[in-house]
Amino acid sequence: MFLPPPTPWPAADPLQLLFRAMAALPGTDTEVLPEISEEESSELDQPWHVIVFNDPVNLMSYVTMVIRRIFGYSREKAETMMLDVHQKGKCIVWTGLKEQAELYVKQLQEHQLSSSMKKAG
Amino acid sequence: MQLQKLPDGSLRFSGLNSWDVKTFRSLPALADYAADPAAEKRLLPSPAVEGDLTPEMAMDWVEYVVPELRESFARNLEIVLSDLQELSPEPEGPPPDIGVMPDPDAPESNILRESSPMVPHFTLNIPADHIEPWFRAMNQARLVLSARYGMDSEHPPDLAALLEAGQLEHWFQYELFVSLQGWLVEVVMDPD
Repeated sequence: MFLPPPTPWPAADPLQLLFRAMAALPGTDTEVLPEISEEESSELDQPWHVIVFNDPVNLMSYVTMVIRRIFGYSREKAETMMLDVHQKGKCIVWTGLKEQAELYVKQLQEHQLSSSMKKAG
Repeated sequence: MQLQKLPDGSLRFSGLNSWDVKTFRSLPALADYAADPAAEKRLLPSPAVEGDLTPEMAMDWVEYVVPELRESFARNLEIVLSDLQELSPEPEGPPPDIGVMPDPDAPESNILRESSPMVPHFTLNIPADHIEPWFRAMNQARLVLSARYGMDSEHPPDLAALLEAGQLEHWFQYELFVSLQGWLVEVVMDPD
Protein backbone atom coordinates (compact mmCIF):
# COMPACT_ATOMS: atom_id res chain seq x y z
CA MET A 1 0.00 0.00 0.00
CA PHE A 2 1.48 3.38 -0.98
CA LEU A 3 1.79 6.01 1.81
CA PRO A 4 2.43 9.72 1.06
CA PRO A 5 5.88 10.93 2.22
CA PRO A 6 5.97 12.78 5.59
CA THR A 7 7.05 16.40 5.64
CA PRO A 8 10.80 16.51 6.35
CA TRP A 9 11.85 18.37 9.54
CA PRO A 10 13.96 21.53 9.17
CA ALA A 11 17.44 21.35 10.75
CA ALA A 12 16.54 23.85 13.45
CA ASP A 13 13.35 22.08 14.53
CA PRO A 14 12.55 22.88 18.17
CA LEU A 15 11.84 19.21 18.98
CA GLN A 16 15.27 18.16 17.73
CA LEU A 17 16.85 20.82 19.92
CA LEU A 18 14.83 19.51 22.87
CA PHE A 19 15.97 15.92 22.20
CA ARG A 20 19.60 17.05 22.08
CA ALA A 21 19.20 18.88 25.36
CA MET A 22 17.65 15.81 26.97
CA ALA A 23 20.50 13.64 25.71
CA ALA A 24 22.96 15.95 27.42
CA LEU A 25 21.27 15.43 30.79
CA PRO A 26 22.90 12.80 33.01
CA GLY A 27 20.95 9.55 33.40
CA THR A 28 18.81 9.98 30.34
CA ASP A 29 18.41 7.18 27.81
CA THR A 30 17.15 9.37 25.03
CA GLU A 31 18.76 8.49 21.75
CA VAL A 32 19.27 11.37 19.37
CA LEU A 33 18.94 10.25 15.83
CA PRO A 34 21.32 11.74 13.28
CA GLU A 35 19.90 14.47 11.15
CA ILE A 36 18.59 13.41 7.84
CA SER A 37 18.88 15.81 4.97
CA GLU A 38 15.83 16.63 2.95
CA GLU A 39 17.31 14.76 0.01
CA GLU A 40 17.93 11.62 2.05
CA SER A 41 14.47 11.86 3.57
CA SER A 42 12.71 12.02 0.24
CA GLU A 43 14.93 9.21 -1.09
CA LEU A 44 13.80 6.98 1.77
CA ASP A 45 10.17 7.90 1.19
CA GLN A 46 10.32 7.26 -2.55
CA PRO A 47 7.81 4.52 -3.31
CA TRP A 48 8.96 1.40 -5.14
CA HIS A 49 7.07 -1.11 -7.24
CA VAL A 50 7.56 -4.84 -6.75
CA ILE A 51 7.28 -6.55 -10.13
CA VAL A 52 6.82 -10.22 -10.99
CA PHE A 53 7.99 -11.19 -14.47
CA ASN A 54 6.70 -13.99 -16.63
CA ASP A 55 8.77 -17.07 -17.15
CA PRO A 56 7.88 -20.20 -19.14
CA VAL A 57 8.65 -22.57 -16.29
CA ASN A 58 6.74 -21.61 -13.16
CA LEU A 59 3.27 -23.08 -13.00
CA MET A 60 0.44 -20.56 -13.03
CA SER A 61 -1.12 -22.23 -10.00
CA TYR A 62 2.17 -21.86 -8.12
CA VAL A 63 2.56 -18.19 -9.04
CA THR A 64 -0.96 -17.53 -7.75
CA MET A 65 -0.23 -19.39 -4.53
CA VAL A 66 3.01 -17.49 -3.91
CA ILE A 67 1.41 -14.08 -4.54
CA ARG A 68 -1.38 -14.95 -2.12
CA ARG A 69 1.01 -16.25 0.48
CA ILE A 70 3.44 -13.32 0.43
CA PHE A 71 1.01 -10.42 0.03
CA GLY A 72 -2.12 -11.86 1.64
CA TYR A 73 -4.30 -11.09 -1.37
CA SER A 74 -7.53 -12.89 -2.13
CA ARG A 75 -7.36 -15.77 -4.58
CA GLU A 76 -9.25 -13.68 -7.12
CA LYS A 77 -6.82 -10.78 -6.92
CA ALA A 78 -3.79 -13.07 -7.01
CA GLU A 79 -5.16 -14.88 -10.07
CA THR A 80 -5.74 -11.59 -11.85
CA MET A 81 -2.16 -10.59 -11.16
CA MET A 82 -0.90 -14.00 -12.28
CA LEU A 83 -2.79 -13.66 -15.55
CA ASP A 84 -1.26 -10.21 -16.07
CA VAL A 85 2.16 -11.75 -15.51
CA HIS A 86 1.37 -14.50 -17.97
CA GLN A 87 -0.28 -12.41 -20.68
CA LYS A 88 1.51 -9.08 -20.40
CA GLY A 89 4.90 -10.33 -19.33
CA LYS A 90 4.92 -8.67 -15.93
CA CYS A 91 2.74 -7.26 -13.19
CA ILE A 92 3.22 -4.76 -10.38
CA VAL A 93 2.13 -6.75 -7.36
CA TRP A 94 2.87 -4.18 -4.65
CA THR A 95 3.97 -0.58 -4.17
CA GLY A 96 5.45 0.95 -1.07
CA LEU A 97 8.60 1.81 0.81
CA LYS A 98 11.98 0.57 -0.35
CA GLU A 99 12.87 -1.57 2.62
CA GLN A 100 9.62 -3.52 2.46
CA ALA A 101 9.95 -3.86 -1.31
CA GLU A 102 13.40 -5.40 -0.86
CA LEU A 103 11.97 -7.93 1.58
CA TYR A 104 9.17 -8.87 -0.81
CA VAL A 105 11.58 -9.28 -3.72
CA LYS A 106 13.74 -11.54 -1.58
CA GLN A 107 10.72 -13.66 -0.62
CA LEU A 108 9.56 -13.91 -4.24
CA GLN A 109 13.02 -14.94 -5.39
CA GLU A 110 13.21 -17.48 -2.58
CA HIS A 111 10.05 -18.98 -4.11
CA GLN A 112 11.91 -18.89 -7.46
CA LEU A 113 9.69 -16.33 -9.09
CA SER A 114 11.41 -13.87 -11.41
CA SER A 115 10.99 -10.54 -9.66
CA SER A 116 12.63 -7.21 -9.00
CA MET A 117 11.82 -3.71 -7.81
CA LYS A 118 11.57 -0.39 -9.61
CA LYS A 119 11.11 3.18 -8.53
CA ALA A 120 7.51 4.19 -8.82
CA GLY A 121 6.46 7.28 -10.72
CA MET B 1 3.72 -44.34 -9.83
CA GLN B 2 0.94 -43.62 -7.40
CA LEU B 3 0.65 -40.48 -5.34
CA GLN B 4 -1.25 -40.38 -2.13
CA LYS B 5 -1.89 -37.67 0.43
CA LEU B 6 -2.17 -39.23 3.88
CA PRO B 7 -4.37 -38.01 6.75
CA ASP B 8 -1.38 -36.60 8.65
CA GLY B 9 -0.51 -34.38 5.66
CA SER B 10 2.43 -36.47 4.52
CA LEU B 11 2.75 -37.93 1.04
CA ARG B 12 3.33 -41.44 -0.18
CA PHE B 13 4.82 -42.08 -3.60
CA SER B 14 4.49 -45.75 -4.37
CA GLY B 15 5.25 -47.85 -7.42
CA LEU B 16 8.39 -45.88 -8.12
CA ASN B 17 10.46 -47.66 -10.70
CA SER B 18 14.20 -47.46 -11.05
CA TRP B 19 14.02 -44.59 -13.53
CA ASP B 20 11.84 -42.58 -11.13
CA VAL B 21 14.32 -43.20 -8.33
CA LYS B 22 17.25 -42.31 -10.56
CA THR B 23 15.49 -39.10 -11.59
CA PHE B 24 14.83 -38.07 -8.00
CA ARG B 25 18.42 -38.88 -7.04
CA SER B 26 19.56 -36.73 -9.96
CA LEU B 27 17.79 -33.67 -8.58
CA PRO B 28 20.93 -32.06 -7.11
CA ALA B 29 22.76 -32.45 -10.42
CA LEU B 30 19.79 -31.31 -12.48
CA ALA B 31 19.28 -28.32 -10.19
CA ASP B 32 22.93 -27.31 -10.12
CA TYR B 33 23.09 -23.71 -11.33
CA ALA B 34 26.59 -22.86 -10.13
CA ALA B 35 28.40 -23.77 -13.35
CA ASP B 36 25.82 -22.23 -15.62
CA PRO B 37 25.74 -18.41 -15.82
CA ALA B 38 22.31 -18.32 -17.47
CA ALA B 39 20.83 -20.60 -14.81
CA GLU B 40 22.47 -18.64 -12.01
CA LYS B 41 21.16 -15.39 -13.41
CA ARG B 42 17.66 -16.84 -13.51
CA LEU B 43 17.74 -18.13 -9.93
CA LEU B 44 19.59 -15.14 -8.50
CA PRO B 45 18.39 -12.18 -10.56
CA SER B 46 19.13 -8.56 -9.81
CA PRO B 47 16.90 -7.09 -7.10
CA ALA B 48 16.11 -3.94 -9.07
CA VAL B 49 15.60 -3.03 -12.70
CA GLU B 50 18.47 -1.48 -14.61
CA GLY B 51 18.72 2.19 -13.87
CA ASP B 52 17.28 1.84 -10.37
CA LEU B 53 19.96 -0.48 -8.99
CA THR B 54 22.55 1.60 -7.13
CA PRO B 55 26.03 0.20 -6.39
CA GLU B 56 25.14 0.25 -2.70
CA MET B 57 21.96 -1.78 -3.28
CA ALA B 58 23.86 -4.26 -5.41
CA MET B 59 26.58 -4.66 -2.82
CA ASP B 60 24.14 -5.12 0.05
CA TRP B 61 22.12 -7.63 -1.96
CA VAL B 62 25.17 -9.73 -2.83
CA GLU B 63 26.46 -9.60 0.73
CA TYR B 64 23.29 -10.21 2.70
CA VAL B 65 20.55 -11.67 0.50
CA VAL B 66 22.26 -13.88 -2.08
CA PRO B 67 23.89 -16.15 0.53
CA GLU B 68 20.48 -16.68 2.14
CA LEU B 69 18.91 -17.54 -1.20
CA ARG B 70 21.73 -19.98 -2.00
CA GLU B 71 21.34 -21.58 1.40
CA SER B 72 17.58 -21.92 0.92
CA PHE B 73 18.04 -23.58 -2.46
CA ALA B 74 20.71 -25.93 -1.09
CA ARG B 75 18.57 -26.88 1.90
CA ASN B 76 15.72 -27.99 -0.33
CA LEU B 77 18.02 -30.39 -2.15
CA GLU B 78 19.46 -31.70 1.11
CA ILE B 79 15.96 -32.52 2.33
CA VAL B 80 15.18 -34.38 -0.88
CA LEU B 81 18.34 -36.47 -0.63
CA SER B 82 17.67 -37.17 3.02
CA ASP B 83 14.15 -38.43 2.25
CA LEU B 84 15.45 -40.60 -0.60
CA GLN B 85 17.60 -42.48 1.89
CA GLU B 86 14.36 -43.79 3.35
CA LEU B 87 13.16 -45.38 0.10
CA SER B 88 11.72 -48.78 0.80
CA PRO B 89 11.40 -51.59 -1.72
CA GLU B 90 7.94 -52.92 -2.37
CA PRO B 91 7.14 -56.61 -2.09
CA GLU B 92 7.69 -58.53 -5.31
CA GLY B 93 4.65 -58.93 -7.43
CA PRO B 94 2.95 -57.31 -10.37
CA PRO B 95 3.98 -53.66 -10.40
CA PRO B 96 1.07 -51.27 -9.76
CA ASP B 97 1.75 -48.97 -12.73
CA ILE B 98 0.85 -51.24 -15.61
CA GLY B 99 -0.43 -48.72 -18.13
CA VAL B 100 -0.68 -50.99 -21.16
CA MET B 101 -1.88 -54.58 -21.11
CA PRO B 102 0.55 -56.73 -23.05
CA ASP B 103 -0.73 -58.61 -26.05
CA PRO B 104 -0.73 -62.25 -24.98
CA ASP B 105 -0.10 -63.32 -28.56
CA ALA B 106 2.88 -61.03 -29.05
CA PRO B 107 6.41 -62.40 -29.01
CA GLU B 108 8.24 -62.16 -25.70
CA SER B 109 10.35 -59.20 -26.91
CA ASN B 110 7.28 -57.04 -27.48
CA ILE B 111 6.07 -57.25 -23.91
CA LEU B 112 6.78 -54.04 -22.01
CA ARG B 113 9.57 -54.50 -19.52
CA GLU B 114 7.56 -52.56 -17.00
CA SER B 115 4.98 -55.32 -16.91
CA SER B 116 7.53 -57.84 -15.69
CA PRO B 117 6.93 -58.81 -12.07
CA MET B 118 10.73 -58.78 -11.61
CA VAL B 119 11.02 -55.00 -12.03
CA PRO B 120 11.67 -53.59 -8.59
CA HIS B 121 9.48 -50.83 -7.26
CA PHE B 122 9.84 -48.57 -4.31
CA THR B 123 7.81 -46.50 -1.89
CA LEU B 124 8.80 -43.08 -0.70
CA ASN B 125 7.19 -41.24 2.20
CA ILE B 126 7.55 -37.49 2.37
CA PRO B 127 6.76 -35.75 5.68
CA ALA B 128 4.34 -32.86 5.47
CA ASP B 129 6.97 -30.23 6.22
CA HIS B 130 9.20 -31.60 3.43
CA ILE B 131 6.62 -31.17 0.68
CA GLU B 132 7.49 -27.62 -0.18
CA PRO B 133 11.27 -28.31 -0.29
CA TRP B 134 10.52 -31.14 -2.72
CA PHE B 135 8.43 -28.82 -4.83
CA ARG B 136 11.11 -26.15 -4.90
CA ALA B 137 13.86 -28.67 -5.66
CA MET B 138 11.93 -29.92 -8.70
CA ASN B 139 11.16 -26.34 -9.68
CA GLN B 140 14.81 -25.41 -9.45
CA ALA B 141 15.73 -28.38 -11.64
CA ARG B 142 13.23 -27.26 -14.27
CA LEU B 143 14.51 -23.68 -14.15
CA VAL B 144 18.07 -24.89 -14.68
CA LEU B 145 17.01 -27.25 -17.50
CA SER B 146 15.14 -24.37 -19.08
CA ALA B 147 18.11 -22.02 -18.83
CA ARG B 148 20.55 -24.67 -20.01
CA TYR B 149 18.59 -26.43 -22.78
CA GLY B 150 15.71 -24.09 -23.54
CA MET B 151 13.08 -26.46 -22.18
CA ASP B 152 9.85 -24.89 -21.06
CA SER B 153 6.19 -25.59 -20.55
CA GLU B 154 4.88 -23.14 -23.13
CA HIS B 155 6.40 -24.53 -26.30
CA PRO B 156 6.19 -28.08 -27.62
CA PRO B 157 9.59 -29.73 -27.78
CA ASP B 158 11.39 -30.96 -30.86
CA LEU B 159 11.85 -34.51 -29.63
CA ALA B 160 14.03 -35.52 -32.56
CA ALA B 161 16.38 -32.63 -31.86
CA LEU B 162 16.44 -33.47 -28.17
CA LEU B 163 17.23 -37.09 -28.98
CA GLU B 164 20.04 -36.07 -31.28
CA ALA B 165 21.45 -33.72 -28.67
CA GLY B 166 21.30 -36.37 -25.98
CA GLN B 167 18.76 -34.38 -23.99
CA LEU B 168 15.66 -36.50 -24.44
CA GLU B 169 15.90 -38.01 -20.98
CA HIS B 170 16.14 -34.52 -19.48
CA TRP B 171 12.89 -33.68 -21.23
CA PHE B 172 11.17 -36.69 -19.66
CA GLN B 173 12.57 -35.67 -16.28
CA TYR B 174 11.30 -32.13 -16.84
CA GLU B 175 7.84 -33.47 -17.68
CA LEU B 176 7.80 -35.75 -14.65
CA PHE B 177 8.50 -32.76 -12.42
CA VAL B 178 5.78 -30.70 -14.13
CA SER B 179 3.22 -33.42 -13.42
CA LEU B 180 4.27 -33.88 -9.83
CA GLN B 181 4.43 -30.17 -9.12
CA GLY B 182 1.03 -29.55 -10.67
CA TRP B 183 -0.47 -32.20 -8.44
CA LEU B 184 1.34 -30.91 -5.37
CA VAL B 185 0.07 -27.35 -5.77
CA GLU B 186 -3.52 -28.24 -6.50
CA VAL B 187 -3.98 -31.13 -4.12
CA VAL B 188 -1.54 -30.46 -1.34
CA MET B 189 -0.03 -26.99 -1.14
CA ASP B 190 -2.94 -24.76 -2.18
CA PRO B 191 -6.02 -26.93 -2.27
CA ASP B 192 -8.65 -24.23 -1.58
